[in-house]
Amino acid sequence: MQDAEVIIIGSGPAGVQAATVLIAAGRSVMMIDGGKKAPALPQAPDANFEDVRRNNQDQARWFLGDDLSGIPVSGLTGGLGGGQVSGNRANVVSGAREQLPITEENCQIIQSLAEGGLGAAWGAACAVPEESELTAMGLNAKDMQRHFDAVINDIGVSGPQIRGGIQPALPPDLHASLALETYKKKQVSFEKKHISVMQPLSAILTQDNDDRRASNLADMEYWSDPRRSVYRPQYTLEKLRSSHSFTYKGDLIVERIVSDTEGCTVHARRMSGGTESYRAKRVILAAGAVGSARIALQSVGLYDTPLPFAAKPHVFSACMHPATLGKTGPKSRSSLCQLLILDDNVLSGVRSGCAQLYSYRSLMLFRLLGSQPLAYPEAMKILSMLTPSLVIADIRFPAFGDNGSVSLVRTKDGDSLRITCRVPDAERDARKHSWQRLKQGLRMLGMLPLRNMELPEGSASHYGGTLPMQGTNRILTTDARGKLRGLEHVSVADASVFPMLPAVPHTLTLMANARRIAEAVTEDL
Amino acid sequence: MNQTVPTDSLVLVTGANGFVGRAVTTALQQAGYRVRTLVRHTSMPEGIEEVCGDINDADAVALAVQGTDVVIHLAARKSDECDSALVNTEGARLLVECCKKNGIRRIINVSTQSVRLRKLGIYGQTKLVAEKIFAQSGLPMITLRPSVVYDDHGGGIFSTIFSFLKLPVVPMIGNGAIHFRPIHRDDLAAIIVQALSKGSGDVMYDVGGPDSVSLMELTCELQGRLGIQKRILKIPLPIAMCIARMTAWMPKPPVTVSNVLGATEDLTMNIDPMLRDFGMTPRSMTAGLDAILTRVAEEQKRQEATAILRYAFSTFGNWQPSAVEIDRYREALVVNGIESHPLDESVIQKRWLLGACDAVASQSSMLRKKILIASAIGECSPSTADFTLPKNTSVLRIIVVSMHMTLRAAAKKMVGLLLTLFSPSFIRRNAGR
Ligand SMILES: Cc1cc2nc3c(=O)[nH]c(=O)nc-3n(C[C@H](O)[C@H](O)[C@H](O)COP(=O)(O)OP(=O)(O)OC[C@H]3O[C@@H](n4cnc5c(N)ncnc54)[C@H](O)[C@@H]3O)c2cc1C
Repeated sequence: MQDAEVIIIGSGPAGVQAATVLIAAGRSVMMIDGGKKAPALPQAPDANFEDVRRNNQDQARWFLGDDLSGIPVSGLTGGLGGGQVSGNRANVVSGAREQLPITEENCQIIQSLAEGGLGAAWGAACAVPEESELTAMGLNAKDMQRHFDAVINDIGVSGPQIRGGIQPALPPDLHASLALETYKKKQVSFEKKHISVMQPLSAILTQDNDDRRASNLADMEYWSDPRRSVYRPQYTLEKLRSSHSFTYKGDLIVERIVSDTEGCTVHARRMSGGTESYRAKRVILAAGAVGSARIALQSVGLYDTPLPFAAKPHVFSACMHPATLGKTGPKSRSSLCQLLILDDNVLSGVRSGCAQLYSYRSLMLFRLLGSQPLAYPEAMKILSMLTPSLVIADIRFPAFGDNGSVSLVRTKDGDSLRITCRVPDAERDARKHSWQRLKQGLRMLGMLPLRNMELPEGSASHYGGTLPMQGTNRILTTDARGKLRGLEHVSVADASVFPMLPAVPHTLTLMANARRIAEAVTEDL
Repeated sequence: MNQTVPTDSLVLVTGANGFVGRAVTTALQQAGYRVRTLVRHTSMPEGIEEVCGDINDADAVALAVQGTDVVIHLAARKSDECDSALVNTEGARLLVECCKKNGIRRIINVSTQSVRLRKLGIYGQTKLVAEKIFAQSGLPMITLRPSVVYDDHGGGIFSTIFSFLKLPVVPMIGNGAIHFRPIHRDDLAAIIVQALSKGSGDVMYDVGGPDSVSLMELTCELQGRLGIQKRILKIPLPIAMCIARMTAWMPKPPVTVSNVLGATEDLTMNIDPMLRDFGMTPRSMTAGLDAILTRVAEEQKRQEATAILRYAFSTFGNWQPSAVEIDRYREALVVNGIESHPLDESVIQKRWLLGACDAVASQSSMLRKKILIASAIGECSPSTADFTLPKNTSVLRIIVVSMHMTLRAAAKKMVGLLLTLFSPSFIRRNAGR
């Protein structure tokens, strides 16, 4: 007896893309998932940030959440992410710590059991990595192109017209347009330093698409998105659910996969109590790089044996942009990533750093209070004048499998995943140099880095490398088609398979690859 | 004796605006009576008839009594004042005359235990004369002699004790050993309403709570519950009497001769008839105190919330948080588990003290957390949009304001550091943890 041809574990960006391909190919799919849902709220205001601030009596509901958990009382952990996984999006991380125990060393790991996974909170910044980067990720750049096209078409991506199928870019805001002007003027000196500046690709619609509507530039993306302009995996899940050959099982934690000659049995535990098992010919792991590693280790019963782990490092530089002092700029804008500044200097074959630039305007003053020295009332006053000129550069560097490790350990409270980050010195130096170069780039663009913050390893919530695609025959590695060694009939579709993560945002690549893996699974069936 | 009073009768309440009067009118309304009040200034809520006038104003009193079935007489001067006799005795005389003309079915005269003292002050004297006037009128009468009256809001006897507890030392007339039976004003009101419909029984009752306590006991109990430890300054009776006489000319003297006399003699009250005839037992002192302290704590929390919310936006002018923001702020304190760390009253009252504490508080302190919460809650309200949202402005202005704010923050820090030097425990209590 078989519950579906393929079981997919996880409803994040990887899981839903893999499912879409399989369903389109006429296969039956069961998705097993944590599935925590966002609270049911009344229709969010479809108004500009400033108008919401001026008129909406209920605005605390959107900015702080109904449970008021969006107030960063215990510090701004996780940087910008802190605001995105609290309040009305608290479901993205809720319960994950209790249900999926981890022991962290030198790092801070975000796990999700939500419908849509971490993608339910993501910032939608996208990039198509360069050929050298794709190669380092274990991918064939040429093969990947059509998968990129398919994802871009499926989720709706806007930005510079670097390839077909991309919707027009969001209008750059005041910071971005001034910076782009400067960049054009000084292009030669930027080139000399191997720094390039561009608008990013964003998974936000600038043209209507089915039931999702173009952004109205309300500057509210971080708080509410009634038009569904920003892509979330839940939207794909909704579509999948309308298919007869798709079943969704939420409230489940997968513990183990047992393979036999015919297929696999997936053993799961209900969060509300009890256990359940399901059978399929093939299983696709898409539980996130940490989640999939856990399930794989538990399935083969491998304890105290480290798997590689790449967590993308990130640092913040909060910058003043003096050219914009006293100028609020246009009211209609987007709060998503405005610019990418790339450090094109090559390190181990890939670009060595990437700064994502965000304007602070709609992120609320109170979020900044904890990271400045003055008494709060005075700080509020100063910040209210300075925030329009404040730019946050969220800087990321490439991550490699030797930057950390994941192993399954027995503790007195049961099994736990021990995650350790130990970055080799040479790499630490490389990051520092890249950070210096990017700060120089920022200054050349007219932005003065005021405050620089190194954030804990792992807090950028970009993970990979745990079940890497490798030529070896080592257990719990994957082959080029994502098949897991040591566990028959199981493939891996998330970032676990990338031996490294590039500095540019990689979720778009992860989704494209999930489609590739799903295609491979379809062929094998 | 009396005929009973049907519950749809028209009841006149004199002194309806007073501490007991307000509770009585509410209780009467709830019991279904139609209520008319004699008040000096219009002030009654919807649904209560008002006759405006003084208790010595013959026309007003006549008008008020006309058509009523019952009169509840509460109007009185409580402290020794020059017109005490006019109000307390002449008022009674006028009321009796009018009642006689109108065939009133029953008069409830709310008197006082003070009339039983051997040595009477002006208050006791005038109320005793009034009792006699009523008794001799031949009208159907019930006289109630309540002990001290209190209330959840801290009114009555407790306002006095609370205000004394705020002083550096707590003054006490005599040795504070005189006993009385404090009664909650709602219980007194209920007894008064019961007195209307009571079929048979006495014409005079001692009215008091179930517990006999002394001022000293009450003060100590309250100190204990509030966690205050202040020295009690016993003022010998002769000295208290001197002070009372010397300050008698003041509009609000700290102590009156009647107060002192009341603290001289222990009156044994017999509340058994009251318990027997009114079919209700007033709440115990413990229950009363619990309610009062809950109220006081609640009031303090609200005040603290308001102070901190206002402080968080104090650099933007005079912003006032609404009830919504105050409630939300308090909810956030609960969410974050920090609602049970109150600030000192002085810090709540004085913005500059709050500022000084804030300036020397550590990032992780309870105080900073509260101010952060207040900033967040305040910022998520339309009422702050005008001043927190970015505006086009000149660079010069930004520089000047930033410098001003930095200096202001520095000044706060200076004051905070000085305070840390002189009263480290104060800073630890309010800005530490
Ligand atoms: C605040 C924030 C902002 C971000 N911004 C960006 C951005 O701008 N650009 C970008 O490229 N990336 C961004 N990311 C990262 C991006 O969200 C992740 O790369 C992406 O979500 C990973 O997708 P995934 O499908 O592999 O895993 P996840 O999204 O982590 O999904 C995992 C799924 O697996 C399920 N699951 C896990 N374990 C189990 C189990 N044992 N049993 C059953 N189900 C299980 C969970 O319920 C979940 O649905 C951001 C992340 C965060 C948190």
